[in-house]
Amino acid sequence: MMQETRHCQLPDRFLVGNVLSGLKQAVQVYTEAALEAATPASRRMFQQLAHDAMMKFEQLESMAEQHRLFDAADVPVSQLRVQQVSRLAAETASHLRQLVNARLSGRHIPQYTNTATVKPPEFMLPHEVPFAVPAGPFEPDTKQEEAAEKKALPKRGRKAKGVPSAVEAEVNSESHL
Amino acid sequence: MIGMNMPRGGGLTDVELSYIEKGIHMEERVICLMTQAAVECTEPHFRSFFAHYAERSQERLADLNAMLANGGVFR
Repeated sequence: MMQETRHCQLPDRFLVGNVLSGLKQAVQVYTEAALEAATPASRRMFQQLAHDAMMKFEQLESMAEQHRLFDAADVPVSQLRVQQVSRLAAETASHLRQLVNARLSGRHIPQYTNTATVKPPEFMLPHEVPFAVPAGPFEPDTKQEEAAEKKALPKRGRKAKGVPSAVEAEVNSESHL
Repeated sequence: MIGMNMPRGGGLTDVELSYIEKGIHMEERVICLMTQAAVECTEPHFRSFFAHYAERSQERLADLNAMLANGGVFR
């Protein structure tokens, strides 16, 4: 007959705390994996795993809060500590401003302009997408397109006469030789 | 760094494989802890929560296994 191993019973808050810690570690690992994934499909998979672990963490944490397992979170932060951190933030900002001004003043650095048509990342939420999606189904306006083509054709013809194409230019240069 | 970890022949990279391995260990750890909590918690809500997720634990491992079974080719 098997003898049941007896051990000290842990309180609920330790058991829940252990699971929360495990889930937190899983979220960190999966998030890191998603960042370093080589293909979009494997990235999606790791993101999904991270999301699942995060959801479980959130559910368990809210249950723990309901049952008042952890009361440390209810302790209000002291005003002194808030002031310390805000002072640190202000000092850092001023220090960085000085550093950037000192390093960049007197140097000619072209202004950064993001002209490239950047495709929004796959994980961008719909409300963050910079372009508006048409409300109804897309129907091409053929009349306008035809009119635009008619306008463009003669222009192209004139341009072709005036400016020689790359092939023509090459032929001309060869004939000169 | 993003983009530095590209597969050469189409498939999983070393980095991805090591993360899958880590993921399997993470799942194992979480499931063991959940099973212990499902047995030992005094609060019935917690017991049912942990039992539910411990039973459904195979899904996550199946996802990780699918990545390996496909040879890591997701295109």
